[in-house]
Order: sequence, then C-alpha cells, then structure tokens
Amino acid sequence: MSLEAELQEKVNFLEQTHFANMNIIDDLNAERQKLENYQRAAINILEDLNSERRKMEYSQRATFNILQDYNLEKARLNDIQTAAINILEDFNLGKNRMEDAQRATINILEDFNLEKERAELANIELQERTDELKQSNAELEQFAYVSSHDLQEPLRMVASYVQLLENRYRDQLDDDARDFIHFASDGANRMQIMIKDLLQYSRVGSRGKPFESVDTEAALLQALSNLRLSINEKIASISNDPLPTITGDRSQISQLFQNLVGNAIKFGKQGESPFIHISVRKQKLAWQFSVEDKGIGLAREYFERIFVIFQRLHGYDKFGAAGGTGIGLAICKRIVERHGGRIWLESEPGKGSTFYFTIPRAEGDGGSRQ
Amino acid sequence: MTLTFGHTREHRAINILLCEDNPGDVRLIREVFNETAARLELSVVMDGEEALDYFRCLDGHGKTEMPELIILDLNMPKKDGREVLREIKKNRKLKRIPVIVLTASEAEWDIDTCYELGANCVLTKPINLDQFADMLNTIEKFWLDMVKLPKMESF
Repeated sequence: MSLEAELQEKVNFLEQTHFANMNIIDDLNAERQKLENYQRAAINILEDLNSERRKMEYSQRATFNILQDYNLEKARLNDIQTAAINILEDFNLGKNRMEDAQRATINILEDFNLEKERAELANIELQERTDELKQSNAELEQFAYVSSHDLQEPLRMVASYVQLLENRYRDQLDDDARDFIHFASDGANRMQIMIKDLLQYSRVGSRGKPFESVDTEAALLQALSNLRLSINEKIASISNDPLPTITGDRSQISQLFQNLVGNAIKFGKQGESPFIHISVRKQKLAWQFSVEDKGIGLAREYFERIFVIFQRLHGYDKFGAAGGTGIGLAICKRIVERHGGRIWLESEPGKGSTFYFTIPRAEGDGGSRQ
Repeated sequence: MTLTFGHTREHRAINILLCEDNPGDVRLIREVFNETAARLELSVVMDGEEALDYFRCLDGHGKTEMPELIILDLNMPKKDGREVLREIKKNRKLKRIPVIVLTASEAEWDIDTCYELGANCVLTKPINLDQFADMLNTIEKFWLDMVKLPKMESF
C-alpha cells in the first residue's frame, strides 16, 4: 500500500469521522435543543402548575368561604324555618281563633237578631208607654189647669161667704164661732195658694219656652232682685262664683235660682244672718251648680221627700205662711228635669245644706266668665 | 150743699149689666155694691144665651135698658163669656159699651184672648172678700167717676 493511498485512506476516514462527528454534534445540538425545549416546557408546566395551584388555593379559599357562608345561611335558614313554623303555628292558632271568633260572631249575630227583635218589641212597648205617659202628662197638666181654674170658683165662695159672715155678724158671735170662722177661712186661703202652686207646677211643662242661650249670672241676679224683700229682712249675704252661659229656659233658670236661694234664706238659723254661696263646676258633659247655705239643714231620711209636691218638713207654726206649700223644690226638680239635668242635696242638721243641680252642656256654651 | 156743674151722673143710677152664672157671685157683688152708695142699677143675666137675648130685646122693642157698662164672667154655661164678648164687639152699637171681664182664671191665654176680642179690661176675682170688695169699689170709682163713658144711644 502506498502512503498516498494510506493517507488517502486516512483522510477519507478522517473526513468520514468528521462528518460523523459533525452529524453527532448536529444531533447533539438537536438533542440539546430538544432538551432545552423540554426544560422550557417543564418550566412552563411548572409555572402553569403553580398558577393552577394558586388558582386552586383561591378556589379552595372561595369554597371555604362559600362553605362558611353556606353554614351561616343554613343557620339563618333554620331560623327562618323555625320562624316560619312558628308563624304557621301562630297562623293555625290565629285561624282557630278566627274560626272561634267567626262562630262567636255568628252566635252574636244570631243573638243580635234576637235582641233586635226583642229591642224592636221593647221599642214598640216603650213608644206605647211614652205615648201613654205623654197622654197622662197632658191629662195631668189639663187636670192641674182645670183644678186651678174651676176649683177656684167654689173655693172663692167658701172663703168669701165665711168672711162676709165674720164681717157682718162679728158682734153677734162668741169666741168659739170666731175661732171656727178663722180656721175655715185659713183653710180656704191655704187651699187657694196650693191651687196656684199646682198651676205653676203644671206650667213648667206646658208653658216652658224654647231653649236659648242663658247667662246664668243674669238669671241669678233676676232671682235675687225678686227676693230683695226677704234678703233685706233676713240681712242675707249672698255671693257667687262667675257663672257660665248655658242653653235653657231663661225664666225657668231664674225661677230655679229663686226657689233654691229663697229656701236657703227661709230655712236659715234663728237669729243668724243667712250666708249663701252659689258656685259652678264645669264637668265633661254638664255644668254642676250648687247653692250652699249654713242654715238649719235636714236629715238624710228627708232628702227624697222634699222634692215631692206638697211635702213639707216644717209645720205651719214654725215658719208660718213663709213655710209655703212645699211646691218650691218640686218645681225645681221639674225645671231641672225638663233641662235634662239632675237635682240632689247634701245636708246635715244644724250645719246647712248644699243643693246641686246639673244642666247638660250644649255645643257653643261659653266658658265660665272670669 | 153740693154744687154740681153740667152733666153729672149723681142724679140717676147707672145701668150695669152683669153676666154671671154663679148666684153666689151675683149676691156677693150685690152685697158689696149695696154697701157703697146705691147709685147703680144692676141687671143680671145668668148665661151667654140670656145675655144675647137681652141684647136682642134692646135691639127690637127697647124693653130693656141699654147698659152703660158690662161686667162679664168668662165661664158661663151654654154660650161662654168669650162668645158673648165676640157678639158685643161685632155689633156696631154695642161695641161702644165698655166691657169689664171678671174671671176666676189666671191663665194667660184667657186674658190674651179677651183683649184680642176687644175687652176693655180683664180682672181676676180675688179669693179674699176684702180684696174683692176693693176691686168692685175701684171699678165703681174708676168707671163711674173717672171715665167718660160714651153717650147713651138707643137702637
């Protein structure tokens, strides 16, 4: 073998080797590249994994939060459920109650209908009674009028002829006969006063005026002016609170004051000047007037009786003609009742009496004058 | 000696017509008037019908004397005082005669009705005799002495 050949052979080999090496290097590079790619991919994957893990953590936390929220919600829901159950129970109770109430209402309605029927019947009866009462009242007034009128005539005959007898035959009569004549004419006189009183009593209803605005202070003054003589005689001192304007019958209110104050003067203590005070209290529905005296007073057992017509507590001997027939308070009662009020008294023997009466307040009644 | 001037009534009695159904009252009025000077002539009718008859007689034949004053009770049987009063005041000649209504009634409507019908005055009979006598004496004094009565006129 020649050297050249050998060299050629060696060069060829070297070249082949070089090529192989080059290929290997290329392959190696390629492999390295791949590896780098793999590495990068792995890093990417790792990064992705981290990101995923973070996301997972978030979602875990979120889940946890949700769970917490859920628990809270569950608790709330429980509460709501309980509440709902309670409400339902209450509702049932309520329903039961309502049913009871309904049943009760039906019962009531039935009762009501019964009552209504009864009330209607009662109303009819009441109307009949009222009519009867009106009728009998009218008859009573007619009777009182007739008595006061027609009874006067024969009475006047008795009184006049007894008196004529006395006038003309006085000298021919003995003491007994004169006594008898005295009793006869005294009786006739008293009867006439009673008849006049009866007429006045009957007129409270039949001759009453329509109600109007009444200044009670002026009405009292009018009454005191009418009583001037006895006020002066007994040196009575009379005082009053500011009195209101009411709705009523002017002359009857004045008459009411006159009778009450007149009584207070009449039944004062012997030898003492009467002291009388008139006051008023504003109540929700009425004015409550009072006439207070420091007079002889009276016992409780007579409280009712004194308002009855012709009932007297004192004999003729004690207060004489001034004692009256016992009509004053009966008239007061009639006047007060005509106004829809009430009259009563508080009294103690020896300490005095206070008469009270109420007059319902009407709309537009002014307040107390101050 | 009394001097009288012009026309005075003292020379003759005054004729009064009393319309009163109650004999007790008639007697009482007579008694009282008799106790004073007897210068009045009292004619009496006992009910409304009789009163109207009295006026009718006046109208026709002049048998009865024309009264110068009429005292009229309100409550009389048959025709009562109000009707008599209405008749009197409707009549052209009778209406000049003063009418004194004397009544036991104190009811306002009686009194008002009387004046509406033309009564000249309305008096209530007092129960007390002395007061009744006073009233009658006052009537006599006022209507006979003080009042100028219209001239008598026959039908």
